[in-house]
Amino acid sequence: MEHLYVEGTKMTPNVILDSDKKVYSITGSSRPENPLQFYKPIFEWLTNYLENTDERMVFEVQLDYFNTSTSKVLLDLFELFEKFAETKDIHVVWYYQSDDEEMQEAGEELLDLVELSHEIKQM
Amino acid sequence: MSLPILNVLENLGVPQVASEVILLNEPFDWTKTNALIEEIELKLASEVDLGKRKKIVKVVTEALDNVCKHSSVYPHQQVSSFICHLDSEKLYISTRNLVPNDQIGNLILNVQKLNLSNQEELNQLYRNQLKHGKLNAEGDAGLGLIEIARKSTENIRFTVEYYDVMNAYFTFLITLNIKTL
Repeated sequence: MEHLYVEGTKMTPNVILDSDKKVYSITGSSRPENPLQFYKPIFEWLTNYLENTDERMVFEVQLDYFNTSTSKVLLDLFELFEKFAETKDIHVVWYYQSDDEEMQEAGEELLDLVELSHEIKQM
Repeated sequence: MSLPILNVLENLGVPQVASEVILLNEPFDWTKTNALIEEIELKLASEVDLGKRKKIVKVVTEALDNVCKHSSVYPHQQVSSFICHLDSEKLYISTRNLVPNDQIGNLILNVQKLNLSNQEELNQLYRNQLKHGKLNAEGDAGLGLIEIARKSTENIRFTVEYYDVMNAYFTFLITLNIKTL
């Protein structure tokens, strides 16, 4: 399947969705002007991929900042994974910097709202 | 007739000794506000630790997002503003924009509800809205104000002033005690 790379900016994240290299990650900061528009291709790619694969997917989130609109998008993304996880092996890894309690708590709060295999890891 | 913004802020509790560190007037756009957030992060980098810095930037960003989304009623009149004041202990973040008169009542009730909630209740409100709210076309998930309330160290103060038959000035004051944050 064709990969999706989105190059990050100061306020939008770097996204790698590459099934050949088995890399699925979102890193950087997320405060897009139009979150629905920004994340639409990411949702489309992941939905399409998950509908057509039986391979394990480890999705990595390594954000240093995101706004509340992005929180909602991330929860929608985890809910999508939750739906597919009934029949597929999906695991989320949420990374945070050692002294960044905000990101640790944000990850715990979001992932507590879904039933999804995950770990919250200090970098 | 509305009061000058500095008088409004003084009435809301910004001390006269606090110095104005940021002033941004309409027109707002994403590039301008992103540059401002970056500037604030840089200023804070040498003064506060990462944990506090993240909280401050989060509140500033949500306040800016809020004023950006509600600033285009009369763009040519430049009525909206975003101002930060700082004294030895506290950062005072204020936003002023127009709100349609028919939405003022709900907005006041919403802020009052947040002010009456304790930290656990605010966390619960946030999680409920996160789980059950929807992101609208403007990118608003109804989470910004709750996030501001749960990160603020004092109640959100506000004032409403007459602007015209359709709209009122709504000024928010968010206070962050940098020492106890």
